[in-house]
Amino acid sequence: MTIPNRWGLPDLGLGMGLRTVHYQHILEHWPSIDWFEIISENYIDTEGRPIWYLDQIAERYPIVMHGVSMSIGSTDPIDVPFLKKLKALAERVNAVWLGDHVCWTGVAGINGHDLYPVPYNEESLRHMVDRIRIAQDILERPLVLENPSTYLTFRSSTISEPEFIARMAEESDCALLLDVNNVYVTCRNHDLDPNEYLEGFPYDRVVQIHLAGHTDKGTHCIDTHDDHVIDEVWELYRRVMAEAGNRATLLEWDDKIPQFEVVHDEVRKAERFRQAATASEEAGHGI
Amino acid sequence: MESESPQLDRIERWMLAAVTHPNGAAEGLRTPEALSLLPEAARDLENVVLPSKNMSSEERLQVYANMYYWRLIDILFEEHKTTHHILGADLFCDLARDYLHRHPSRSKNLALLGSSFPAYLAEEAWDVPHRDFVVEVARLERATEEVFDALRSPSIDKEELAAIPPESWADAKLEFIPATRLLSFKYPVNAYVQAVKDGEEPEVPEPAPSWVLLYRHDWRVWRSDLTRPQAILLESLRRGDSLGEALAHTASQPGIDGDALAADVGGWFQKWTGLDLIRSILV
Repeated sequence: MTIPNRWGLPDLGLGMGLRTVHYQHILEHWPSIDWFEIISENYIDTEGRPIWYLDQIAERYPIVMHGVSMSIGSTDPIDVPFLKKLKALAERVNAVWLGDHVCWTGVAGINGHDLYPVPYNEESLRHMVDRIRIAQDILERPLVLENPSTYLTFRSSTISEPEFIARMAEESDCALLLDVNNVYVTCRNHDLDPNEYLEGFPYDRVVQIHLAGHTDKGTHCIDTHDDHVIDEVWELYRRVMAEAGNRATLLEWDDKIPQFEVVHDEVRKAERFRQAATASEEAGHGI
Repeated sequence: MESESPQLDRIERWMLAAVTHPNGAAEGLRTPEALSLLPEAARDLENVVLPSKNMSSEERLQVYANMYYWRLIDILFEEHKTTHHILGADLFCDLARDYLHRHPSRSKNLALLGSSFPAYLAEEAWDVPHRDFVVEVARLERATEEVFDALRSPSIDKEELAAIPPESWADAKLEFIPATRLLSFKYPVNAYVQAVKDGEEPEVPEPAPSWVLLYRHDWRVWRSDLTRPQAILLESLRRGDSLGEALAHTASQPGIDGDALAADVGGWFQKWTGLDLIRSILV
């Protein structure tokens, strides 16, 4: 079956993260890829080569903006000028949607440039819901927020991460990006079952899926985006496709980035799961 | 203004203080700031962070501390590869860590992370070998980043140039595109940087004045060595002097041959306009 997202945002197919090492390949070959996702901050406050490439690529491919420093969970004041820059960039590249992470990245004016967790409790929930609403008002579009990879649990957490995210999305009316690699990494780090994590995940708010590789340190996993997707993560993806229906799916590869075709081949592996989801849906209709 | 989420605010400030401490999270927990925010964490970290089956609370917090320095030092390395080459990996990492501790990022823009690194090396860093030279290399590398990201602007075209009456040139003032920097050094910095880029192992050079024009052309940043007369002329023009004033100023400098300057200047302008470095000419 397919659970449509409540905004009717399109299934863009299979996409790749746009990375500098692939710019030239893309302009020379205009590869057959459905869409690209950009790290928003890489194209803000610069008028150098990256934005020149992006302008050309945005003429031919749908672009999704994915940020890493909105810091929606921070207790610092909302950075309105930054949101306005995001909005301007979204208009410039005709972004299909834009988003960030369920996290904070800095406080007291200092930026840690990492995705830090909030305690999952009522106080954090109220705080984030309020800020998401403000950000969405400024951006004039729904935010698409991603479940982060996390490495610690606060004692003051009283709600599970998936429940927190579901309530946050419902109460702020935001959209979600479900990173299935992050589900795996977070569950490994918190001794949780990723299949239990996905039980009841609000698929009607999911407009995008992330896939990526990670580093298994034995005692924990780090979300390094530097390798192929492992089989267990593909299995989670298969389950999500089967339960939610096809969603715009993106492969992230951010470190030790191989040639374009290697990354492209990796994201193409998702096709078999998407087709399986379609076949399952058709079979369902036939019964 | 006090946050509306006081407990969340304390946790965030506490966590950032812990994971950004240069000696690791365990020491970060015991800083006055962290102690004032969540003293119960210093008594027993499990009061704030739960352990997992495989990791203690401290080990889990340290994951973030490791990533903070690993990620940000890597960004400084990418920007300052020649500085890294001179200092060596260990000293570069130690200095970068100290720099990040003293000058934590206050911007969402990672391109600004190293904006004070040359000044830090000059004024704050402990015993830096070949400090004067290292600082100049870091300045060149930093300026390269600034030119890479600088504002885009149109440059003057041939028709606009041709339309300027010959008698107006002496009073003409030149405006350069934002993506240019003029740097003067006590050492032959550009030659050294190029040698390192070419895979050589150059010795730290003896002092010898040098001048470099950094500019962006075809979306790449280029480094062009300048002669002393070129540098004096460009500096004067960038200050806002008219072309006549700049030429007179340059010709008045000791050791500069005015006749040679007059003979050469046309070719220089042809090159600079050909590289689209001049934004406008006010006559």
